[in-house]
Amino acid sequence: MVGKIGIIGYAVVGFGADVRLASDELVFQASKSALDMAGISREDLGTTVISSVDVYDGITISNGLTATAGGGYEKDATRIQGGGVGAVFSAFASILSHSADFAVVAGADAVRYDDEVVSNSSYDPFFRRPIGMFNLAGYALVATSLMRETGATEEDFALVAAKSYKAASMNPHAHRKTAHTLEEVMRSPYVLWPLRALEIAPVSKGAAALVVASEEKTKEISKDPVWITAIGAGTSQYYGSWSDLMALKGMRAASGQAYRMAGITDPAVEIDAAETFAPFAPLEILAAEALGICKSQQSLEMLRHGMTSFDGAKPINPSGGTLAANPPNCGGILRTIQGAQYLQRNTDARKVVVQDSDINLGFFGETYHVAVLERGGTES
Amino acid sequence: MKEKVAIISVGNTEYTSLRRETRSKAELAYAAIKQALDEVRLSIEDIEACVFTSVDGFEGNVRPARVLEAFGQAHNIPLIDVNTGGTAGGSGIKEAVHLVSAGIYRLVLVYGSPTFNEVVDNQQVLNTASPPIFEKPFGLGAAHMGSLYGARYMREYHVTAEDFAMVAAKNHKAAASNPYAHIRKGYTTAEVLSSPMVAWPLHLYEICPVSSGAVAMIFASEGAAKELCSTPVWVKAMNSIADTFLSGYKVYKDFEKLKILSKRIYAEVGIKNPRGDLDVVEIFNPFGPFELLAYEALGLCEEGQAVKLLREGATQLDGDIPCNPSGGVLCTNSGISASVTRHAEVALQLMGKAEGRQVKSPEVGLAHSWGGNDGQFHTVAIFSL
Repeated sequence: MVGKIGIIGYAVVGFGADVRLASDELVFQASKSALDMAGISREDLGTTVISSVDVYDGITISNGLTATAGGGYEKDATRIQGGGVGAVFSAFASILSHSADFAVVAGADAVRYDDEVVSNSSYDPFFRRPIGMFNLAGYALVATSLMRETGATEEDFALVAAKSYKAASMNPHAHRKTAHTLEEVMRSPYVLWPLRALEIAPVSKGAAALVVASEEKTKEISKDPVWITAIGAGTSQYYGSWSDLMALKGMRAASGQAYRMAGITDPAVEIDAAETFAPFAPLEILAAEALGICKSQQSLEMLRHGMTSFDGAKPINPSGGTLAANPPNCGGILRTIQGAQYLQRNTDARKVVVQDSDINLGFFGETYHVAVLERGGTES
Repeated sequence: MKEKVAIISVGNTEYTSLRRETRSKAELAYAAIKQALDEVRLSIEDIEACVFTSVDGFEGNVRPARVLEAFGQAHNIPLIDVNTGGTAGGSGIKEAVHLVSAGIYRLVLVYGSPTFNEVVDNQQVLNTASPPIFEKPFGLGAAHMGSLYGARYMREYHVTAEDFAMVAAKNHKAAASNPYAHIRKGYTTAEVLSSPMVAWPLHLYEICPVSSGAVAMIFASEGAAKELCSTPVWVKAMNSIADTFLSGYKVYKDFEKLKILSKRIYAEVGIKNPRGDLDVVEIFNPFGPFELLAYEALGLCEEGQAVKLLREGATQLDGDIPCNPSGGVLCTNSGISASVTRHAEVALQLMGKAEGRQVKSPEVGLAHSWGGNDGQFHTVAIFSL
């Protein structure tokens, strides 16, 4: 363990198919509300970390627009591309290196863009881009491979979606709030076989912000804080093998690092719940094993028995997950907030895993982050 | 900082014009990283995280690091992608320093991408970094940012075109003996003044070229540094500062945010007299006049006294406070690579490995980077032996 940081404030704006605010207005609103919840002012901040990618904001160096809106005026500020938990990781390192006591981590999604074109432009210009590779094509390839290798069926995928929507119907921030049933998911049209429309996440607009603090400052402010005790990261190979991709090797590296840092030796036993980034339903099944939440080959069984539902023994995406809301810039921050909220609502839960990545741009060469959130009194 | 952090290695490629470039982005990354690793006899799997720094908007790919397999992706080494505009080099280094200082990783590699080498028109791309509704339509590009500062500074302190040309010539002279510089012609003050006017008051040779080449640096924990390197360069302090996005609030007569930042950093490390306490400085100077504004903001001289400092020769290679002995960004601008290079150059100087441009036994150095819309961000790092 290298130390821990406390979550002392958070706020969410949205989510929906559209917003009426610009990126900086969204970041300001979310960051200000999160600072108010923490009971600290902008003056206390040591750093502001923005999570975004230029192309999702429609301008070059887009954190220029949002850094000061997140409280960074005349302060240290940076921007991480590659997912919101990556930005939380930056704040984690900043605080644990004693470079800051308080940090805002914020992101906003406001601009409309063509997701297929953006994803395609993240592939190499010579081999994969010209054949039209884009995120959904990769998702569908992984889904078919999962069916072939594990016996997963289209119903299983629909089951993941249906349980997500049921959870989402209780989440006030969900973009898709309707509790679509298994039958409704199965009746939704194919987008890319075997993936149906309701098994693919929307592209959501809105914002999320977190305020995190050093252990010492957290204890001064909060009686029963949620701690981030570990974060790990790992990147997959762009020209790697298909079996490496199906093993989610980058995610395994990230979770391995996070668990070592948090002292978790048996994740299947020690972790109470997980929020994962699954922009297509089947990924949740694969991720559950890569994260070690389910023992090898058991995630399908657990899904079918309802164990991974929000009210099951090992909830995965109890917020409704990515199918409920999928803002590309701030999604990882949202997942971290939802992980913290799960611990706050379920007092018998001790440890939650938050997994994030940049696979909204598509598979191959993707970077994963895994954070461990723990609850424990200020004495711990 | 919690734990000590050191720079243990630098890898550089040679620099050329983007139009003469024959190496691919992957080859450039591999070459720079291989050299940095070889220097300390490491292989890529020894590195625990890589920090990639670039600006997406200039690259031919969205998030180009994803497709470049030079960062140990085959070993699932985390690739951290930092983009804060021109300051991305400084921001990426700050990220590496925090990760090592916090005890999360022992060895972190920072890579400065050749950001500009796929761009057809840099001015047009940089225009998209401007506030989209109010400022972008004016057509502000990179050169204009330089000219706005230059013009106001000229008026404020009665600086002449010749003064500006002199600072450019100082950089061109230095670059001529730097094997890792792109423009190595050694243009004189007269040649700078007779080069074509691009954006008043800036002549062509007062504006950086569009270069291609890459740089990598390895950061290590105290234990790893002592084990792997005989001349580790320690990171004493590293921080950044942000200004507003809209340029309308700016006065342009100085780098006011850099002034605030450098004061903070000096207080942190106990520097009371920057000119006396620092031995070498690398300033982010894509435009000649920036160097003069930075002299003042970094406290190397009083306000309005930068030209005097320059004319005294104090900032030349053999002066008492050498600034940009590499020739600076003015002679080699490979995008974010140039932002990392400021730090790499200071590290090489302190290690005594600055071939052809070595300052006499420096012990403490400062590296600066500048970026964002109209220079809204600055970073400053202090390194020492």
